[in-house]
Amino acid sequence: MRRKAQVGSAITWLVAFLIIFFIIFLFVGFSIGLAGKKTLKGEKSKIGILEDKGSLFAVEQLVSILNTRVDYKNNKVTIDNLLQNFQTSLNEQEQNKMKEAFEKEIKNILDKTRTSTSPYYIFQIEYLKSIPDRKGSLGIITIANTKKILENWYKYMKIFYTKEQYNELEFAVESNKENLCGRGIFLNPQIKARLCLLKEKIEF
Amino acid sequence: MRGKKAGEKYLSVWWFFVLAVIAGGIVISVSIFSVADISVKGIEADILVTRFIDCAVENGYLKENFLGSFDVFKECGLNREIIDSDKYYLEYGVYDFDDEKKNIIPEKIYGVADFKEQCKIKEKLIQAKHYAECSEKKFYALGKDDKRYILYVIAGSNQQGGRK
Repeated sequence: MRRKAQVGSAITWLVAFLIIFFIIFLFVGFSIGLAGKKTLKGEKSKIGILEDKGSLFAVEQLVSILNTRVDYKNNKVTIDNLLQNFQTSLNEQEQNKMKEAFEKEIKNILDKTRTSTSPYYIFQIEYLKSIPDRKGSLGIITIANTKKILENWYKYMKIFYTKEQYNELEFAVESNKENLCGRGIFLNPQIKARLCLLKEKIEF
Repeated sequence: MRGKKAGEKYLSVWWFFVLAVIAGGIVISVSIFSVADISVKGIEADILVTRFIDCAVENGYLKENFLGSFDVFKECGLNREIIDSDKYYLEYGVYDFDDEKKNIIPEKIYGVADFKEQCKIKEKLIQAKHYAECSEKKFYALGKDDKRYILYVIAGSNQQGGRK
């Protein structure tokens, strides 16, 4: 009787041990998984910028660019002013001249400020829908493969910070992972300018 | 029950084995989780660059005293002792926009200058765990009379972290 009881007990323990071993195995496995993801955002084992914060670098750079004076009709006019007057009284030919003036300048600036940590950029200017017959993109200056990016832009980027207004402009930071964009909206007229400094080429 | 030694039920070989597996599993899991590295170097360097630009530039214009008596520690609220410790590096220079070789003020370097080289090496190597990570930015800024400048800033961090 006693031997039989011992065999029965051993079998019970064997089954119990297998179950416990399996549970411990899962526990260790989960720990390894969680340890690998010990990050707030971004790459494995690296801390990224939190979504509710973010760098204002792109916004600051956008402000500098908009304050730049360019040659237009023998005058030095800020890009900011050119954009604000763009839709009001100009005919198409004048608009094209104006567009040429600031696009050339902006591309020159952005090419000169590229670095190894932000090698790609997108600068985009567009009308908001509130301006009848003039909606759509006014200019896109880019070094990334952006046609598809812009199509998917609104799904892709997250607006998470709005800066105070400055000179009829309202700014916001947009971010996805480590790619940061500064967005400025001219309140009157409603034109949106966006500068994104990208760490990587975005593919969709 | 007669003849059964006291405690046999609880102190069998199986019991010890199971207890060892459970204890070992807990110890291994906790150690794996707590020992895992987190690198804050890259983000620290990024924050340092952004902080510097934020205090050097106002509405797109360089601050009035920037090209003169600009005290980076006072203006940017940085602690000199921390930057001069062996964990950080900050360098900046101002260049003419139209002639990038022409520097307007001499380059200023704080902290461990060696980090710049470490970052260059790290860019080429796949892994260099103990080397610093850097953030390098060129900022387009305006000066008095709308003169245009390129503000070059590079910051590095080799904050290893860990318990003391």
